[in-house]
Amino acid sequence: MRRTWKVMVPYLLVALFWFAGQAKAETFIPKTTKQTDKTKKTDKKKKKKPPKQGWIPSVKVAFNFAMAQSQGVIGVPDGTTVALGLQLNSGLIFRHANHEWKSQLAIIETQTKVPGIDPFIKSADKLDFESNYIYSLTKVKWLGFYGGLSLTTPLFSSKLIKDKDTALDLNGDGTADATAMGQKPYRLTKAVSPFMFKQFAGMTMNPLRKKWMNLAFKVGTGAIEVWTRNGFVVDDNTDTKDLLELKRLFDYVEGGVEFQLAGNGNLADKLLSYGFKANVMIPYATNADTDLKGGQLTNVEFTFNLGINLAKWAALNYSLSVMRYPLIVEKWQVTNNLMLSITAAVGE
Amino acid sequence: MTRNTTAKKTVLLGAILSSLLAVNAWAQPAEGQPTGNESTQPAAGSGPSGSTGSGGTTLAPARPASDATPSSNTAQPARPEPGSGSTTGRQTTSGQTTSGQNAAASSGKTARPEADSRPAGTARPAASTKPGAAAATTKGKSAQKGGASATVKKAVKPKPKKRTQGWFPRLKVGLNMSLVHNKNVPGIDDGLTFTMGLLVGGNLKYIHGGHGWITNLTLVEGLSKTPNVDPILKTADELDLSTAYRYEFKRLKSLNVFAMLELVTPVAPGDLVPKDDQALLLHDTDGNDRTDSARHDMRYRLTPAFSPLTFKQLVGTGIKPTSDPFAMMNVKLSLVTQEVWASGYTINDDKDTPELDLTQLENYQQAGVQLNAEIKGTFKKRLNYAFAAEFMFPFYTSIDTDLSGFDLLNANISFKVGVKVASWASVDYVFSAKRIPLLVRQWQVLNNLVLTLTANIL
Repeated sequence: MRRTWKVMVPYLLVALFWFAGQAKAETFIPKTTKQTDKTKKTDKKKKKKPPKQGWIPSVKVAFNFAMAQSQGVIGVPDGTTVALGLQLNSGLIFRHANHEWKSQLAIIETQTKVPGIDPFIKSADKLDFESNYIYSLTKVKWLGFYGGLSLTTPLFSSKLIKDKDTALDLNGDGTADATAMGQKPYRLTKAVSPFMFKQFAGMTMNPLRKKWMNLAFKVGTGAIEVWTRNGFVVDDNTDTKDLLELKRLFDYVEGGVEFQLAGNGNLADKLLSYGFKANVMIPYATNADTDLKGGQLTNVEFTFNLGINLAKWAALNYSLSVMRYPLIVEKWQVTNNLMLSITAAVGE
Repeated sequence: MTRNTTAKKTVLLGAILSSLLAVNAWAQPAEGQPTGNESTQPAAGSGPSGSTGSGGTTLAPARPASDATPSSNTAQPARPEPGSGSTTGRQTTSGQTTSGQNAAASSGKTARPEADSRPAGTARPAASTKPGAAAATTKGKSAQKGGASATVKKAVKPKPKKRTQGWFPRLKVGLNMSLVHNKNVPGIDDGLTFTMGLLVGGNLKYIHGGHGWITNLTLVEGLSKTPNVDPILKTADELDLSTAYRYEFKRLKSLNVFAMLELVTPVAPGDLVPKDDQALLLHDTDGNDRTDSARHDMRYRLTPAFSPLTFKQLVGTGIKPTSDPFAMMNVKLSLVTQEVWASGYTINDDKDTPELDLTQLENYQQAGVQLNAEIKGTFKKRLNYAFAAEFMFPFYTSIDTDLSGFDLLNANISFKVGVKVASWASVDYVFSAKRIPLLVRQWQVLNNLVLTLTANIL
């Protein structure tokens, strides 16, 4: 008898749990509720709004400013401190049936002046403009074709400011060709230089269009033209302590295949807004006279921005930019920007 | 070294983020928080209204001050919900709605104390004697649904009386920040660029009859860092804390007597960061001179934190000739004693010598007469200004000095203008010229122009 019970107990327990599970399921998910859920879902599907048509503009400006001047104040260096920051993100979309024309303009500008150094020092300076035409297929709406152009450039001239007189090697021959005077600006590039102009066409996929993420993938072919206006860039050789090497920039044209992954969205009831874009361009032709070959010539650009909307009018904006254009600078260029700013947004 | 720098950056970033979020978290509830006066005007519409006819909550008032419901509500008797099993909205023969514990109990909800206090047989008291009661209910859904709502909507909302007695706290925080880090970007120096400004202004007043106890706090901080200069430089740094007792005469309200304590000090240490290696000549208070050197792009500590610290005690009389909002004037004459605790050095350069001259600071006490004149005002709530001048003539000084008479005069002149761009943002300009000859013989001048995000926390 005992043996029978020993065998029966596990089966009984399993049966008990199974019944309990069934009962629970039936109690808490009645058929009516299931039906209502289904109808709700279908209703939602029916009610799904089509994307807005016509012109859809948007502008978001973040601004930051401070100035302090002191003279003779104990423990505070004499002189003027100025900090000026601007972040502009704007867009203009024209949507008509399957056609979409999307333009975006972004500017990041930060200039600082501190006591002891006369000129303003720029710490972020970039203008980015992009305009794309997209045609989405009627039957497969997330798939389409695009053609577009973009330009990227700094707005202001760039200057080298050294604390002491510094010998400069301009020709890469290991000898001093010029001197940057201490505390005086030595111009490296002119305003709006280097100027990068891109044209691309290809296929686009937009598999996810949600509030929390709008994801787009592009693959295409195109060209990049870069105008540098004979500027210089710092390319220091740390082995030569008394000499600072500058590399002369040159104009070039590249043709290649481009892959782009871009996304943006809002999270936590619009408390957080984010966006990212990754661009990889593998050039198959270039007119530049360079030692780099194949994969070494790959251009990579990654940008990420995150906005924490502290209030309707204030936001903490963070942006990261990582890029590598080996024909301009072989090293990775990294910019981090964090700004607590007054924000004004117009449009969507 | 790089690891340390990265760790510092991370900690700094984390601290900024957390402090911002904390400030915002404080600020949010405060924005919608009613003052003591406003509490008499409940936002009936925002909560579940007492007469929306929604089941058992029909008579449960939404807000504590439900007695503010006007008589118009009786025109909209609570509708008993069919099938709800609740008789909370039971109508009496007189057409009025009953309420109370029974109703609440039958609806399975806890009776709210306000409902208990209502006399039985009356749904709600007719228009309350409380100010703003009618207006309060006009906002409610019940009033909008009721037929008489249109007339009630137009009811004039009497302004609550401004409180003149008791505690009056105020705290305002302004913040300004920007951080950029670059690496290998053409035309931009590698490294960190960082600027931050903080402005905290607060006061706590207690007014009782002619007596007043006023405490003020002001903290101004500014920091800056560029890739070209390694250390972080402070661009502004002052903490000012004062507390005063004031008695206003009943018959002559423009005249008062006061006693005050005031503490003024920088918070952070003061540093010298020379452009090049700099030879220093240090003049000590004992008369000895010694030499030292400050290295290029490195901190040379001039003063420790909270130095110099000035502590003042004042007793005197004040007069307010005008109290117009556009130009409020205040003149004070007082006897004052002040103690200055100072250590470290201050720049006192003699340009004829190649060395940079530093003079040692020393502790001292002074007693004298102080005259303060202040004029301040606001224009259309957008522009506010304040001009203040303070002169302290000492007739006793504890240390030996070659200065005498008016050369020992301490002066502080300041001017402030603020333009409110919005309720949350303002452009503030502050000018300050200070002369404390026993610390620094020349005038200390400070100009500060800041576009600030402002949160009124209290």
